[in-house]
Amino acid sequence: MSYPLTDRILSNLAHIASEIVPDSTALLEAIGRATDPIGEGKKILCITKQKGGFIKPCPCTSHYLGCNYFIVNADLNCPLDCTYCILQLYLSDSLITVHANTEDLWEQLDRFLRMNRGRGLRMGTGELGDSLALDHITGRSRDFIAYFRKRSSDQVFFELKTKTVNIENLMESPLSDRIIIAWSLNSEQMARQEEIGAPTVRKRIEAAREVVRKGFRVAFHFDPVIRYAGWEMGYEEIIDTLFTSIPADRIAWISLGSLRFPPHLKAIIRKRFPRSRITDEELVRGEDGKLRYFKPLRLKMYRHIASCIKRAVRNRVRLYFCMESGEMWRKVLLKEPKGKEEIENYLSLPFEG
Amino acid sequence: MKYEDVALERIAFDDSRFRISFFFGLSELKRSIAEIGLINPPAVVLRSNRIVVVAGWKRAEACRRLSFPSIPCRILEEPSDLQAFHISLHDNIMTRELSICERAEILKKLQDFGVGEETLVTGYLPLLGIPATRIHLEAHLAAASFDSESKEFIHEENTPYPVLACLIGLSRSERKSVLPFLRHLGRNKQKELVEHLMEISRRDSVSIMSVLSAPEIETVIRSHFFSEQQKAERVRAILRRKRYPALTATTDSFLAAVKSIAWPENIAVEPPPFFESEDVSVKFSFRSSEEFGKKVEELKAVADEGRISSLLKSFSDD
Repeated sequence: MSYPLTDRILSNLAHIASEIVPDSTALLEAIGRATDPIGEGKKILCITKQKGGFIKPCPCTSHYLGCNYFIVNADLNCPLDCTYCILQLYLSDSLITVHANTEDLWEQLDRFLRMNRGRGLRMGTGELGDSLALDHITGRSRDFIAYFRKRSSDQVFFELKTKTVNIENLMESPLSDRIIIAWSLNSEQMARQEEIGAPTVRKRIEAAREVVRKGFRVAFHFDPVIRYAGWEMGYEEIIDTLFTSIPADRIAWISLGSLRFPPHLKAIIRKRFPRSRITDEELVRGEDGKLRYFKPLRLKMYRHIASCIKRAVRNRVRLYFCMESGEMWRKVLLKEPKGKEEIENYLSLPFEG
Repeated sequence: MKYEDVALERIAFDDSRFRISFFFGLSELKRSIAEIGLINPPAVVLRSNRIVVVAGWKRAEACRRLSFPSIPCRILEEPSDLQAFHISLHDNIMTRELSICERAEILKKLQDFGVGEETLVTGYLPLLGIPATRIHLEAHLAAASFDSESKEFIHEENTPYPVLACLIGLSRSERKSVLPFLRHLGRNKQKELVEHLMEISRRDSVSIMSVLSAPEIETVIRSHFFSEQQKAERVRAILRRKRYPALTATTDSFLAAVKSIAWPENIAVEPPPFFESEDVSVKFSFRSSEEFGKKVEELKAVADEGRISSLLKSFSDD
């Protein structure tokens, strides 16, 4: 496969054995027979071609409010191993996959932006993988920044979402006001226990601070918020650290989402992470069939976290829910959007300064 | 293939190396053999001068209990135990449905006969109708190591894999404490009870025996008023409360509010599933527009009493 990205990756990984695999069936069958197929898949980087569309609407859920986000499936899966990760269930194979046909990606992005001219768009690569986890190998962030630098008049924000501190390429890149660098945050205890392979939350915030100093705008996702003994203090502390490190006017948005997953993921979590306690809390079926904390417990968590955030930054930061009901918006954020278009418009408003 | 009449006293019934079935009734088979004789001879093999049954344990045992002096047997000449066992395996899988317990036993014996993990997963699991994953192999091998009482339960209940997977997480003494309840519950309730027990144990960092020793559960177990099935259902309900304290408290509050309202006859009032939405449902049937109108009027009278808001408040977070 003679794509420049393939050559770049192989050059960066010259010390690691690579192999051309014309048909991955046998490989996937062998991985499927392993005691931990998901873990085995994470040991293999597959460079291939995206034969279909790169850009898709974010797989939001029925009965809850979405925000019209679009995901760009440049890379799939992730070397981190978060216990709650839905990719353990969602992806059909467990290999870390890079789609190297970047020219096709740019063409599709061109067409997509053209078709949606005049509409405030939010999109990103961190939904089915981590946007920066492999950036030292792929250099994707440079490519996206270069692409969007030429589109500064387009009404689009492109998010690179990560749990890592892999910001070297960002620090060496020119700026683009279309690019938002986002971090998933959690309490330190939950990050240590449930986000295996990820740096501490403090280190992520420090990386965000560096990126802000460089001139990028950032975003944060408290998702998933997890209940455990001492959760109030845990989230309070990290919110405090966040706002003493990052000026509010450089934060594009903050999202909140509580732990939620399809029921079938429960057995996978129990099997792969027998020490994790996240499945033992009071999780019930939501209207979309996913397991979520019983609503009053969720509401209490959101109220506490939202009040910590508002105490720090008042209304200077756009705060929104991921996959929550209108009732939750109303009771926590004191406003109930009529639909996802309203949320889309709210979040894609231009920033001042 | 050689057939011979073998004296039953020569058959080593204590050698169960090829045996996969341990829990079976023999009365029907004995009656049949007594009436028409042994139609299908068991297969046996000679091992260290002992005659060991390879296939047809039930038939051989039935004949022994009928005090037959000898029975015709098919004498196998397979040099290795694995080769002989293959005959038993195919004899069974081609002629009947195997229980999960028997499939577990087969896999354990194949492992004992030297078959490697890879071959067990890729070759034998599909043959036994089991998904070809290491997780399934490990679960079945674990079940094969269960105590006799647990195996008997699994065999008799034809326990499905999801329930088996739960039972594997329990120790022998924990299973011993739980099985008496499981016998009186359907499969979904069995799975629910064991899962709740394990989840409460993990969440509260207490042993499963501790959970089962809770005073309210002990009271049920010691009661002389409840049947075994009623005890099982009561224990299940207690565990559900412990597992979901906030949900059950809200449910109780809602039901109390429903009960406090004088609803018209034949009206069903249902909360939103798991109280996730804000919508309460009211259901009724009607066969005529008059009947429909009458019900609507009766419901309107309930609304006019002002009790609906207390019903909605019973599960509201405001």
